[in-house]
Amino acid sequence: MRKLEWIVINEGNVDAVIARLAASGKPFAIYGLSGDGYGDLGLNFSDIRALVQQQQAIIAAYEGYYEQAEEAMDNAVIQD
Amino acid sequence: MGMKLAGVMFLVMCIMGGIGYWYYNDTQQRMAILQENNAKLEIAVETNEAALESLQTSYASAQAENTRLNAAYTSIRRQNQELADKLQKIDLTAAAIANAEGIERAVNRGTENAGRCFELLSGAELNEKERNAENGIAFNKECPWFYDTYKSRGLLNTATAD
Repeated sequence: MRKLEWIVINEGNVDAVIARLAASGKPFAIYGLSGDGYGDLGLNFSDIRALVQQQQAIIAAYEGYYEQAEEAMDNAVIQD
Repeated sequence: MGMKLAGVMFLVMCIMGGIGYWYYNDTQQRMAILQENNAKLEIAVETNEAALESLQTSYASAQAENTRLNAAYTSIRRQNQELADKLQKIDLTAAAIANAEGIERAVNRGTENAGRCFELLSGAELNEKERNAENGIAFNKECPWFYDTYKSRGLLNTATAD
């Protein structure tokens, strides 16, 4: 995953953050999220992660089922 | 007269013998057909029993997989709820006002860990820190439950993991 950096700004440190960014030579522009917005972003990622885990669980279940079904079919053919 | 009677008797005996011979042959043929049919039925019964057994095994394995899947879903839902529970206890705005630098470090670390969870989900190899982790929190604070999964698969350094 690409590394990204969050910058937390409040009324008290906004000038210092602007100065820090200016000193780094980068043009000043910030995409902002409120505290609640950041929380919601985290929850959205958590939901996506859960969805991926669910899909993996389904794939594992199908794999297990087909392996056992194939084994049962092979056994039935041997019995014939 | 006697000769005539003997001739008639001989004729009757020949007819009776012919009927007997035909009856014997016909019965033998019928028995052969019946035996053949019986053998076919036995094979059909065996095939049906094998098919039934196969279906029963298939049904049982589907049931077992379904049970496992439901358990996995329950576990995933619980894991997904953990962040929501954590966020309910924290006022992110107040925390950012009180300690901007501290919360900045925390969210950057959390983002990195969350990204690493996705990498692990997509099959990334464990790094040294993860292999040597002694518990789920040391493994990854954002998805500590992976620790048990990797441990059960024998992918952690067991000397430190146990």
